[in-house]
Amino acid sequence: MTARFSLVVTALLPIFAAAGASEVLADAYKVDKTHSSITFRIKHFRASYCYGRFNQVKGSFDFDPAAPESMSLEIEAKAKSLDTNDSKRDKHLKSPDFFNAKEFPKMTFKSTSVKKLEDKLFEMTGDMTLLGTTKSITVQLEHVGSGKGMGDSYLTGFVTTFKIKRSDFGMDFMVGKALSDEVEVTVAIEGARQ
Amino acid sequence: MLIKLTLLGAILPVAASVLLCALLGWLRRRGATALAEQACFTDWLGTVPIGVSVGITYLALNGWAGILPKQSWQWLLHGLVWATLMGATFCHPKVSLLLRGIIGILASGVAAWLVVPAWQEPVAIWILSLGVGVLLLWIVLDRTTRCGAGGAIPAVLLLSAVAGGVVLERAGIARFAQMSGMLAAASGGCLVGSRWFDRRCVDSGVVVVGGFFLPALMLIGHLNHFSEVPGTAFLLVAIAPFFAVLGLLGPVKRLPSLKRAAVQLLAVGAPAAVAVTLAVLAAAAEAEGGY
Repeated sequence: MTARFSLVVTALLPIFAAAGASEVLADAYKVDKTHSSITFRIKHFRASYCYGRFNQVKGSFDFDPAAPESMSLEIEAKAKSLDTNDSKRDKHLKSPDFFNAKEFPKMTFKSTSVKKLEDKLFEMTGDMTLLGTTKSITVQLEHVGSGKGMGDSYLTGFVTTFKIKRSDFGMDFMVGKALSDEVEVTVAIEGARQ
Repeated sequence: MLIKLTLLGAILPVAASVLLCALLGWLRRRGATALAEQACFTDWLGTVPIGVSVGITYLALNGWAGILPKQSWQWLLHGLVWATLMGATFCHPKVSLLLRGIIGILASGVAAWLVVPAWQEPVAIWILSLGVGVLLLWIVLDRTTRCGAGGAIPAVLLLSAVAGGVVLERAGIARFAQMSGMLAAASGGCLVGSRWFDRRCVDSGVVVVGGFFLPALMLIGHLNHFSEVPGTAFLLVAIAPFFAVLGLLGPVKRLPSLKRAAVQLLAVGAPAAVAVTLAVLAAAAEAEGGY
């Protein structure tokens, strides 16, 4: 009995190893800041949307198309790189009225779990930190595609659009008619396999 | 929104400080018949009208969240409470010089430590600068209230805080500009309300609370802004109230109180006006688009 059990275990070992190896085989990617962006839009006087972006984005992710649940992502944007196409407004937005960029120079997101919804569509949960406040958020992440880039590079890209309430993070100045509490954020990242 | 901000930012502090002065005056007359008892009641409450009115306006504008600070500027409220409490002892007329000195150093030092952002290097230098500046302001201005040259102190603070509001607004920190505005409004309320309480006592309170809040606000404004407004503009507003010391000088001191107040206001108004001019010019130079 014991010998038979040992035989079964020995036979199954390569299978367990292969299953475990799928995590190990996930490729590591570095976010390409030139082809990645974090943009946002906020409602202005309930009449229109005002758009902005962060010009300095960096991060990394691990991704294996065969086991997307093992994916992990870390991304950060520099608050001082905020750009709304009006330098005076940018300076106001970086002040303690909004992003308080001198005290909180970075905004970060770190994934904690990923669930596959359908082909190329995942639900990612993670911790978002803004103004020193960390909140768990869940977003729908679309795998845009993967393929060969310039030279020997291999690229993979994702995009997500989600909404947050800025007051949840302590950004409560001018919440109301002039500027909405709700902000729509779009994160588009392209990573180069390392 | 504008109506709400005007009501909360300007009318609330004026109304609160006038009402508090009137209420304290009424309580004093009602509860204490002897003059000595009235004086004893009054001596401890100088910082209440301005400290409480600025405090409740702060909470009305910024919400309760600031009570547990997550951002360094939110420590301003705690500095304000500390200055209000400690100031009551500092400006008590019967406290000895030595004890006042010790309380002054402790109060200004802790208040500066509370509000200077920990991320700003060299943090010790900033704490020292603010602490020493606040202490000097307290000593100099409190002296004016003790020798009868302090009648213009609330007006001095009002003028300086209005200038501070303009500088901070031009520097692109509307929240801080609003706070400077509420200090100006509360000082104005104290100017009117002190007639129903005790002028010297209310003036001493304005010295301690305003003498901390305004320089602290200008310092953290300077450390946090992204505009082209020069540091000189912030500094000039912070030190402007010092110039009320002119009221202690011989020839000015002998002037009738209204003329003396006018001289003090001119002396304070000059650096404040330079600060506003510098801020407006700097902001105009970087103006772009319609924002």
